[in-house]
Amino acid sequence: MMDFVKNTLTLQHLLIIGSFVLFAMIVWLIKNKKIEVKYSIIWLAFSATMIAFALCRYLVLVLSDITGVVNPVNFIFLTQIIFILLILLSVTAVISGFSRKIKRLAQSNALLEKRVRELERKITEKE
Amino acid sequence: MKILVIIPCYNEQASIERVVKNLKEKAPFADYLIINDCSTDATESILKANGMNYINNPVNLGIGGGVQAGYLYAKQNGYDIAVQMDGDGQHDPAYLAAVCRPVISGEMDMAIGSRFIKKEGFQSSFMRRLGINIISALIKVLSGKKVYDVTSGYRACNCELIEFFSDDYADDYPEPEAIMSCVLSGYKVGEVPVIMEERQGGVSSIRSLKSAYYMIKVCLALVVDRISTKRKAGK
Repeated sequence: MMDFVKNTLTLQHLLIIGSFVLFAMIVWLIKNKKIEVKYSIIWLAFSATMIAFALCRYLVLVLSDITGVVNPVNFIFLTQIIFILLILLSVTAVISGFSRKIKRLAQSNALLEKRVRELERKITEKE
Repeated sequence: MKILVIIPCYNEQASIERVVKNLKEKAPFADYLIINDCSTDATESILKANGMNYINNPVNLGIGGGVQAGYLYAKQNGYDIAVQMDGDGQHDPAYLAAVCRPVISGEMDMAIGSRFIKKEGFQSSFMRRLGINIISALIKVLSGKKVYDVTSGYRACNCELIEFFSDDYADDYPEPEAIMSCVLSGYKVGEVPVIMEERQGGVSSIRSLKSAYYMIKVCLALVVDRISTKRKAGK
């Protein structure tokens, strides 16, 4: 029994440290404009959830009881996996948007290059 | 009536000169634009040396993005009809007028040059025909329109479709998807018999290892088109 309590306490400490480090990293990245605020929302939600879980053990215990997850730590893992999947999906959506925009830019660049090339040719012909 | 022939080309140094020469001889009434999709061989220097009308994509956009640049050019320069024609010599410019005719007369919005109507000339390998038949059947099921040569890149379209395509054109293997989105948006699509040659040089963009990916991607894209396009009644 003592072992179990001791273990969970260690795990909880790790979780507290980890979640705050994650939060600090995200804030640092936003502050230094390394990530855009609009893409940071889901990360902030992620770290806020982790902080809530780390600080309040009963929250995890109650939620895993309700959902029927036998080992409470699995509930934390499950939450993390869900967040990671959501972040991956949003990244794919963002990339798809970018590829569309890049394609447009490349096309208009190609058309402009043609016009410049022809203008230059006309100018040299005149000279 | 201004007609633009869009010739997408990627590493076609062996054939591009002949394709353009052929086109100028057999279809002098049409302008052309070559889309050099970031070729890694001597294509660009050939285009430059011969003073051809071309654009250079700064990055490789694939056939879809390349052709779309051609449609943008057609739109900006007020062309009435745009015709796609491959840069590898498979498509004979002698049929250009035949492919354009139904579009000029207003009978079709998009006319596809099809090698499977009269079944003459180069008919492609058995496996490719199988793939083409599967895609053709899928388009029939999803859109109700039977098109035989769904992968043919020899097609003419009117100015409404130029506008439509310059706005939205499928990415890597666009031919079947373009048919699908046209039919679903209420445009009239039809086929015109042509005879195709075997390619004169270069390599097809669809090679054996890629063909499984090709089939999966195209089939999925067609289904996605079907569920994401609101069907308009035929115009």
